[in-house]
Amino acid sequence: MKELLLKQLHTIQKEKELGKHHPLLYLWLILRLMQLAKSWLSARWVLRDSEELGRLVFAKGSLKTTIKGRLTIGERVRFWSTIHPSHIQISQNATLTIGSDCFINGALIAAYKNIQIGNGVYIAPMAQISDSYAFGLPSASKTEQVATIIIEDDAWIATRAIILPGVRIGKGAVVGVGAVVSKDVPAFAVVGGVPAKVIRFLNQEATSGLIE
Amino acid sequence: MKNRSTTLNWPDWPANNHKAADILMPLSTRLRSWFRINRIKLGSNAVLKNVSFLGKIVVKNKGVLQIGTQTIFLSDFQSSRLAVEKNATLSIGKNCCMNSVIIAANQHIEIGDNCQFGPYVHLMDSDFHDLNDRSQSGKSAPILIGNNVQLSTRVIILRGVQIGDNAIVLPGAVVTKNIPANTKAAGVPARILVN
Repeated sequence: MKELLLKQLHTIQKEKELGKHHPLLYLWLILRLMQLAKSWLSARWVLRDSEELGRLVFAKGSLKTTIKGRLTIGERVRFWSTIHPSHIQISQNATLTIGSDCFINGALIAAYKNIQIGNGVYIAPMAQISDSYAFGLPSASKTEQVATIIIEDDAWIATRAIILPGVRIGKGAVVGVGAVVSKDVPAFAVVGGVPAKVIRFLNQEATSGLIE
Repeated sequence: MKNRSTTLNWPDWPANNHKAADILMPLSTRLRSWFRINRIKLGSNAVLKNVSFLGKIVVKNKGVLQIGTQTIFLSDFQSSRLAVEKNATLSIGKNCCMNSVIIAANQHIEIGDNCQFGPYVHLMDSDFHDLNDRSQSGKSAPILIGNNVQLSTRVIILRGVQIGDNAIVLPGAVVTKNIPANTKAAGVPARILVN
């Protein structure tokens, strides 16, 4: 078995030197392109009720949506569902804006009034972002329970974090695993715990690429 | 049937996928619940009246299961699971709404009327295993929950906890001690917020 594989590798290397490609490479490329096309089409279909939908939005796996309000999505947004199916729920007269270059993998986002997500935000599996304390319940859209959430550019929300209503997360901030964020997070801070507290601030020089 | 439209505001409900069924919701819910009840094996000691299950639900009943009228079980994010062991009782009051919850009753769980439980809420009235000898069954104590209680997402309630009327537990809390009536609680372990 090992010898066979080594022989195949040798043949591929020889073909590379001669300027040829292995036929399996083309098959792999075609399959990859088909996967991409499928995810692009599924994103177009699932998010068809949105007001604005940017170019190159991909939805890999099952993205579950119930859109009754306004949804705007920027360009090059990726929705994955590798660990948990990602949900987007928008009730009547609510708005959800997602900026461009975002990456959302299996997160639960429920907008009952207003949620704003900036550019380049990363959201990990099973993170819950809902602007109502009664998320998933019939009394969720009552005015006592609801407050707007703002997530600024380049923030990163880690696995199983919960973001409570009325919270503003600063630019480039990191919300730790399993944190419950109940107060505003300053820019370039790392927060964690229940309730979330500031652990430290990110090195400004290391994150200079984000500041530009 | 008549009161349902007043207690639950169906059109404002974002979490239901059945767009075409919105108009015929009372009839369709009733039909669906009838099918679900007849398909799921609920055991001999189950008492259900006008209960509706939307989505998949998993029920294991070896004890006594009582659910009041007009309660609704939703399964938007996860299939709701009810597990009632031998010689255990689980009684849920009227007009409750539960969305993808997990309830495991080993001794006694009592839930009042008009309660609302959010997604991923866990209720467990025993430790399941003894601390020293893990093959033995653990300690258990009854959970008593009053009327109009709201448990937000991912709340876990441990054994021997009593929650008073009109209490609200904020998301992500783990409740280990009693919560008095008309209060808010949050944190791990849950503490009462003074405001």
